[in-house]
Amino acid sequence: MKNRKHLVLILSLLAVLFGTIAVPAQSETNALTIGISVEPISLDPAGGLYIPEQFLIQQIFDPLIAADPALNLHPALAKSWEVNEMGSEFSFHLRDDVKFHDGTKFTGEAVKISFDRAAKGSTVAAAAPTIFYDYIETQVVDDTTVIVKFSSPHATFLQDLTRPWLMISSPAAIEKHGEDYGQYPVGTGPFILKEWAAQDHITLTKNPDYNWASDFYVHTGPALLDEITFRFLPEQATRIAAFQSGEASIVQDPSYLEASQMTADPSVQLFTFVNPGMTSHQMINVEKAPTDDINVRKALIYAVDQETISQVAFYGLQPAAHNVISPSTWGYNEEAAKLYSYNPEKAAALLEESGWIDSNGDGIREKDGVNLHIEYPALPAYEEAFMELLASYLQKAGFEVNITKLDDAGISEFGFASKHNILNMGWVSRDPAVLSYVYDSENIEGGNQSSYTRFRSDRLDEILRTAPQTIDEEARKALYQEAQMIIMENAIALPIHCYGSVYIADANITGFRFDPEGFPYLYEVSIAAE
Amino acid sequence: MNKMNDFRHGQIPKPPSIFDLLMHNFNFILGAVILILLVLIALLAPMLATQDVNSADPTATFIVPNVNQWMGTDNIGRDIWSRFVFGSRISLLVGLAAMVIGMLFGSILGIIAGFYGSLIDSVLSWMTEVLMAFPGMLLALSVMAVLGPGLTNVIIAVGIGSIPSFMRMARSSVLKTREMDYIEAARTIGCTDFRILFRHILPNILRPLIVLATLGIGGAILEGASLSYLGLGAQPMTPEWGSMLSAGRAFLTNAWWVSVFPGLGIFLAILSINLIGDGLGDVLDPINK
Amino acid sequence: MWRYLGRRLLTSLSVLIGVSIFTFLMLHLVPGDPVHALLGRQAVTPERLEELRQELGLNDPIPVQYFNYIKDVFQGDLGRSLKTNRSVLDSIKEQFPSTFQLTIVALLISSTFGIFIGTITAFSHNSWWDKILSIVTISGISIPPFFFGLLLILFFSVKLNWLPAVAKSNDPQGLILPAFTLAIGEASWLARLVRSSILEEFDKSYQWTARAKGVRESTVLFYHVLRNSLIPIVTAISLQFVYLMAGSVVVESIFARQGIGRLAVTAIQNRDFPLVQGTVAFIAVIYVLINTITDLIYAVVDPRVRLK
Repeated sequence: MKNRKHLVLILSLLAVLFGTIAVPAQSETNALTIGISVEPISLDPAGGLYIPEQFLIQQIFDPLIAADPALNLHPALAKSWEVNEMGSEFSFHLRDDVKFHDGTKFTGEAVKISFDRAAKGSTVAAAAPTIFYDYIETQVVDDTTVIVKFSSPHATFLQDLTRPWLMISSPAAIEKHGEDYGQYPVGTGPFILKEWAAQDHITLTKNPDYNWASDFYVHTGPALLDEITFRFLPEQATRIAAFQSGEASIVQDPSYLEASQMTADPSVQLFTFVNPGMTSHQMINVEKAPTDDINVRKALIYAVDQETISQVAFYGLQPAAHNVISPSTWGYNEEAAKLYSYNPEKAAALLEESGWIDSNGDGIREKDGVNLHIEYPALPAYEEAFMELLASYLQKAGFEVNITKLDDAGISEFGFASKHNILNMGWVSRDPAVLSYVYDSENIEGGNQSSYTRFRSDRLDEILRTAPQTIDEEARKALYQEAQMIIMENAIALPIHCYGSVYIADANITGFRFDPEGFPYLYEVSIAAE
Repeated sequence: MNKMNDFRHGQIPKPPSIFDLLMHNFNFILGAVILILLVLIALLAPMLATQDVNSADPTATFIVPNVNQWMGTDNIGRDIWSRFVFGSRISLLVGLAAMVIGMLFGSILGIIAGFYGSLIDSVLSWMTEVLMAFPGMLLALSVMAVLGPGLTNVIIAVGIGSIPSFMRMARSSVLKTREMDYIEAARTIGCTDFRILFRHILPNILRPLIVLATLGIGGAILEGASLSYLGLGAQPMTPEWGSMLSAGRAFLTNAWWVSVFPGLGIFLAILSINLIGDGLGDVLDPINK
Repeated sequence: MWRYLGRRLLTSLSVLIGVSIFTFLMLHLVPGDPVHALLGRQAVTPERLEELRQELGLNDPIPVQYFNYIKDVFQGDLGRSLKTNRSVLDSIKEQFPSTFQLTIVALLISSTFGIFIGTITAFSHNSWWDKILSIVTISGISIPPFFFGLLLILFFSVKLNWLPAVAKSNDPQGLILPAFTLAIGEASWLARLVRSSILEEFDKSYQWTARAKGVRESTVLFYHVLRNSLIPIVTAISLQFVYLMAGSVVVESIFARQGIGRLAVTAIQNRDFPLVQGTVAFIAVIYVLINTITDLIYAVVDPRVRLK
């Protein structure tokens, strides 16, 4: 009995061995390899959160409405749309000639099923439910008409629709793959998933039937590339090595040191883009000493030289930030960004004003025998490049800094328990509405529990709650500009750097341009003949 | 051991002592010299370091090793030599502390198993077998999964990973000693188990355990550094060799010194212990000589 | 023979049970509520927490939970990754071939080099060669794989540009550096083992008998000495397979290769418990099986073992 089990195991081992004799390599001339940093978690639009998902989902799926680089809206799967007066109900008239990759027809039912799933989210990390916080339902009027209803005015919905999280999936494929749908995504987009070898690569092939590209693209019909391979190369150094050896012709987020040196080389193209949305900034906890004192908070901001951090950590390719949202975001407030600039003397003066003085000469300021101590939980995946440099600036100003390296879950736990003084936050988005996810005081104890400043201001809450429902664009802009001012005046955010998309590409790559969030439209990319 | 005592009390022509033999063993000497140097560096770290380990200088990044900064500087302008020097403390400490934990718990379990035998022995031996079923670093990694990252947890994980070998060694030594006449004698005159264990058995089995622990330090340093390399160990800003090497990988093409020097440190620390072990092996077990 | 066989299999079975208990308990040993360990960063209401506990059976007594876990494992259900929601068993099945490939190539390298160097040093016993090679093999044991791998990358990829630092998993060129990195430690161990086994056989009296009977020196060496020193060497090689597999945990991470080792490391970094449990148990089970098989073969080959 026992022996037979061994035999079965040995046989299966042998089977695995013969299975390894691998797939022959392909060498299509019109195939492109892109080196990306992180492997996607799931390619289900209702399941993704981070950059790698976004990049790939956009190639496989189509939105109802598409955005051109200037954020103008264009028809995509929806030919036209209307919004009710209140801004809470959206009717869409859908195209009738679209097929999913599995051959099934795109209908209103697919929109309903996709949106219902998005509202729930299919993985722990999913971003879609945050967007759909006040979703009621999608009503299918007929095959080509749907009405999406929200419980309150939803000013950002049309822009949200252009993002990957609300793109449309094939109901048949969702049904067929169930929980595994994230590995076998089926959309209507210009590329079809061919192969996903976990921890190695994903290959997409051209959708030959694609004939429904939005009107702002430079061409129509199928994509220009036959095949795209996304290689997962977790280290910057290996990404650049893959580029230099010709294994990848486009590399996302290469080693900045080398990328900055390559700008002089005519055989290399460097593409950069400052992402809109929140900047990468430290949220400062107003409930934990010593950052409960506004002077200490201001001193933190004055003590840090963002320009140098940007140069040293990112070779300038991720620009310095001076505000909680980045300059490329709609509604950016120039004035709020001017409140602080690097000024160690001012930091020292503010700290002394609050009684923090280094009396024992150990380089750390004290008050009543207590060190000026900052607890800094960090997520190396995002902060590796600058966390130690940031800490060294704070140390120079007389702070004692303790960095604790944690994972996602650890950070959330640490922050929710209010054990931190500073905690990094950042969120690429097309609209400043994203501020409410982390600055609405409702999110301190409830909601997404991500309001790590633990700052309570009635006015800020009011703005963050009314702005998303304000349909008038100018009024909405004014609200968000005030919000930035409140955040910066109260010194609850220490901006570090703007997120920047950085790509290097071979000279023969043409048609490379960024979408509003800093991803290339691969549909337009081609490889020029030598 | 017994042989050595014989030598000491013997009257006629003294065969070379173990010490003499060791002093003529090249590998042992080489290992001892490296180890002593590393220990000296660790002890004198505050005097040898030319800079604060965390004082960054954004205007002096990636300086090539030169007369003043003879291991160069890293990506944010910290002096690598100063960090290297303090890093030796961490690596040696991890190796030593982990072995102390492993030896302590491993020997206690092994002594209990060997002395009491029967059911307790079977259960404890089974547990060792189970722990030994996680080869290489897998056991330490599993413990890290449970404890979460951090240098203290690395010490605990590596320590737990070494428990099985200590336990095996202690158990077999106890089994050998237990049958000896003087233990029987102690039992007859009514000594308690506790007294027999700690007064009579422990001193006799301590030596092989200490040798095992000493030679295990190399492996413990390796495992600790590997865990830090994988991002599970030392916290940021800590000048730990494994994490320094790991951080330097991003700049390998431009600045090899950022990761090569810490790597060299780990290598030399492990090498010194293994050379000493090899020398001891040659002297104690001449067949391979 | 049969008695030995039965006893050996029984031991293995009990170890396997122990392995399953260990991996099962991992989740429960984590400080705090296991449901939090499972949920990660997701913020949920207390009601939902309770619901999840019910759903996952975390309210049952531990032995019942263990029984259910084993039942699931036997039905091929190792759970799903918390991060990617992928089936753990599918992930293992997908990643194992890469690890297996790397391990086999590394095993070939380590056996070739180990036996070759070991034999040379044994036959040139106490010469200069022997002494230099002994330092080389000690260095091979001592060098951390992540440092050796880095040096190989620095030299062969960065300086000479001969071999890719990272290559697609099915590209044989990409296998060379990882395989050597993985093999160096085991090759050095094997070299030392081969040397000492041969030297041990030298010492035994039967070969003096053979010499006395007028058998030629080369026959003595190659027939008597090598053959008899082969048994421990073969055992060592079969165990090396598993040690190499365990070593792949680090090596796959250095070279960002596909494989079960890196799967385990990422899972541990993410504290993705179902995936940690699955991968760790998988490697342990293979280890126990290979161990058992080696012992049994050994017992067949060498009857003395059975009497122990």
